[in-house]
Amino acid sequence: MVKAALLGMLLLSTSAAFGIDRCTTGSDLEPSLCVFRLPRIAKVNIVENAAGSPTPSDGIASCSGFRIMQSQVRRYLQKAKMTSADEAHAKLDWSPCHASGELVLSDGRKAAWDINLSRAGSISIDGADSIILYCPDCAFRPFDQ
Amino acid sequence: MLVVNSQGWVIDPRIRLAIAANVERGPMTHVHGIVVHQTDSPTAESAFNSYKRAAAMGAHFLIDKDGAIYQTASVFKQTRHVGRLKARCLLKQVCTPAEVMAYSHFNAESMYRREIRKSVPDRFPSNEDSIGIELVGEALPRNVPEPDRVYETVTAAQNASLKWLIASLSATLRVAMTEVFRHPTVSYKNRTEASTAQW
Repeated sequence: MVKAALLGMLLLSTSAAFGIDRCTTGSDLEPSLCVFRLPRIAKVNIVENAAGSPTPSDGIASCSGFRIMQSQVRRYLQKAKMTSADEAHAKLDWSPCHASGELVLSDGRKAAWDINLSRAGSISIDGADSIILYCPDCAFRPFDQ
Repeated sequence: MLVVNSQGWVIDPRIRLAIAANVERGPMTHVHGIVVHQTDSPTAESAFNSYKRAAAMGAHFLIDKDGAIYQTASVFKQTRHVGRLKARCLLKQVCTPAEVMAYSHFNAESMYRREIRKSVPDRFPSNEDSIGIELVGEALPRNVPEPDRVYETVTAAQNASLKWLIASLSATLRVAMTEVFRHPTVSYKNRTEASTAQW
């Protein structure tokens, strides 16, 4: 009886954050986010790093601090969730600093990725339309600079 | 001067009413600014379709590529068209030492929390006190990462309508022309959004 009640409470608390379709409802300032799962990443290649040219009104002197490592790309892609283009356009902050590259998945597929200082990003697998990503929980370097 | 009825709808032959209730939020008691956007969609229809969703994001007016002006929300209602605010003191170069320190580490969320406590003109106009105007146009090409996309050039017909609409709203709602901004000026958005808009 107690176990059933605890399980019910757990499901209720989980469904508040992620509904049955595994998506959050979002808010006026935060996008709706859906669970995103990638197969194991076999290899990460960084093509552009610490890229971008901030203006004085961006509040950042330069993008040199946004230098991401391969392990951080993997960690980002493990923790990130996906959102829609509409939600991203309206709610995600655009950052002047970004990094991009390619990766190979364990099933052999290749993907192009882009990650920015605002913890938003995208991934296109085998040339398909980009999936837009956002990782509010990525409070690690180089995002926490 | 525009004629605005009790519902906040503009009654003018140049403006077509296309009110989308899902875009409207709470009452807007003061208008301190106007923010100019681009939709990042190819047609007016695609924008209207997105307004049918619950809690849709949109603005008060939409200008199609042929210059047709639609009112999509009451001017007495807030819409969620701005997002998180940038620090206006950075643009004006008048930040206090504490602000300089706080803003030296990029964090759009904490910057917004500080900014929204201020009043215009110390901060940029926000969702709570500004009119939004959307211009139909998308950031291209779609197959490159967002930072590398460039918004379509605003058409001459759109710019003519935008100039008339902003002048009319400014006079009617008593908004100073100095409080009219492109979206990327007030929020962290693609720098090319509305960059070719003229008013």
